[in-house]
Amino acid sequence: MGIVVSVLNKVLVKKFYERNVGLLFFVFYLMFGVVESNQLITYHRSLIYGVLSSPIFLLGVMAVWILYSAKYLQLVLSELSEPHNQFLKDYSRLSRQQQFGPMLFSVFMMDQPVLIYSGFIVGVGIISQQYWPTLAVILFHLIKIIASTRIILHRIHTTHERKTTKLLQAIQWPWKKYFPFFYVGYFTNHIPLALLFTKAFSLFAIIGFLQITTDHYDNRTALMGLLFGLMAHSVIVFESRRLEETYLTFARGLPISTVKRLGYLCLFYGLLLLPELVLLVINKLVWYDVVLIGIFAISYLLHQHTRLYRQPFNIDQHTTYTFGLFLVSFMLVLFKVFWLEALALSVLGFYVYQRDYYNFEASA
Amino acid sequence: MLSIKNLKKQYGTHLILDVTQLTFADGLYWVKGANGSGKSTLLKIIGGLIPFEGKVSIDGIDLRQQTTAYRRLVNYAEAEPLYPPYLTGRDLISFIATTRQANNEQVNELMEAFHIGAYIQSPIGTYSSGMVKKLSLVVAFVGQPKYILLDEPLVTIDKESVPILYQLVRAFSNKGVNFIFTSHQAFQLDGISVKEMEVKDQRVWEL
Repeated sequence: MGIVVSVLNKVLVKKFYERNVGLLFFVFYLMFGVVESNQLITYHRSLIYGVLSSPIFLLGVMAVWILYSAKYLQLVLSELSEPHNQFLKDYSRLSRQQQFGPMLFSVFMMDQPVLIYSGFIVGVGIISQQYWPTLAVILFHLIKIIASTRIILHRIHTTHERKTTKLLQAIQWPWKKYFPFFYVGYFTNHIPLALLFTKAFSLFAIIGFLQITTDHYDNRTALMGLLFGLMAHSVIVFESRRLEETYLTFARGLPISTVKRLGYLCLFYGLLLLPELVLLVINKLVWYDVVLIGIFAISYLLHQHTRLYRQPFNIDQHTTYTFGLFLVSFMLVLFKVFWLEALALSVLGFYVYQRDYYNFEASA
Repeated sequence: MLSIKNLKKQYGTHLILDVTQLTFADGLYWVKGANGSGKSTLLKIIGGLIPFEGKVSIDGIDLRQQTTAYRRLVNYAEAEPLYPPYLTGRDLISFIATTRQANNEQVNELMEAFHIGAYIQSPIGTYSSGMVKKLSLVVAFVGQPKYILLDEPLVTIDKESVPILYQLVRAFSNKGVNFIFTSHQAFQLDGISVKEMEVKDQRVWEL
């Protein structure tokens, strides 16, 4: 079975790390580079104690781990549908047991960054005798790895690749010929898992931050949660641009003005962010804050989208920039000047779109 | 008249096209050339699909300066068309017809001509490559263009569709629509003169 493991590692594991090396280095830096070396152990021990002692914190961390799993699952599933990887269909000729082991190993390898840190959490949990949360962490990873393996094997076994997402595919958009719905349709039909995970994480982040109690009305808690959600949406932004460069190249030649095209994009992102805005309304944010936050969120995604007309079409660079933008935005939110950022990003997005939409060529 | 001036197109350091001056007067043009010579690139530039250095205009309407007005004048069909697989053929055609302000009657006539009515309500993802190609040809004729650019129109379509395509080209040509097409096969358009050009050594030569 050595050759099977080796091929899976080359086709899936290696590819995953190659694609995400920038992101992983960035997260590594955030976790270990920003703290002074003599405080590193104390810092992480406190962080782990926090995770083990607070169920909400633990749930938040688990959500991030799920997001990480979604990232490698998304890559693996899309790689499996690539024409050059169709030979992997032969993998289903092995017996069930023979299939499960090597694939489990591949998932295990892709999950290493999370598992290594979780190992420390388990260690600290056992030493500090916090057995229940420790057990929860172990069970969570076991279930997650087995489920991920099963999802991948299921894809290899089925020729009809989107069996698991019938619900979203079944949504028949009544205005399908309306341009913004071309984008929505791409996510509900093509990569529904990415959409589901992004929306779940985004809503979860907002709900989490809204739990923070303040002695007076403060829109910043909602905004901080939203910022985490917007960071997760960077996948959607990248995929939207990928859609434009694959299936929507024909639209470039149509007589639609750039202002109108930009309007369509705003409408698409507005539709996409509707659940978050509804959540804010339900949580009794004042209406003008909801409107302002909506404009901020749309301009934030629009800026990321238009930026991809200027830069090489590269997910690593996009992710790194996304983190940078998140950090800057977080500071601006703390200093209550997010409206200034919304204005700047809108103007910049409009300018870049006008200038670069027709000047971009993915293959160049 | 379609006019090209000081056109340069390169990918990295590889120069694909270097055309100082080129005009396409009214009529039909068959652009020939070896694989990789730049035929499709030339059509994509004229279709406004890819960036380039230089100036392209139709009757004084500049592709860069009056981008929407220019795009009203040009329809383009790719050699290997790719459309969102979750849209139906009807969705796509309706959308494009709306942007080009085409009437339903014309759309229905074109669909009927290419016999695509049977599968037009199905998602494009279920089409064969030939069916997608026919859809792209229907799309190429929708609206009131001044130029129709057809990149390898005879590739992939069945032999029954070839005379239909010729018939449409003839009918549109009689209405004053100009055509530029690339093809490795000759177009058999009896009674209509086709001017030949060749893309070679980064230039476009009249034959």
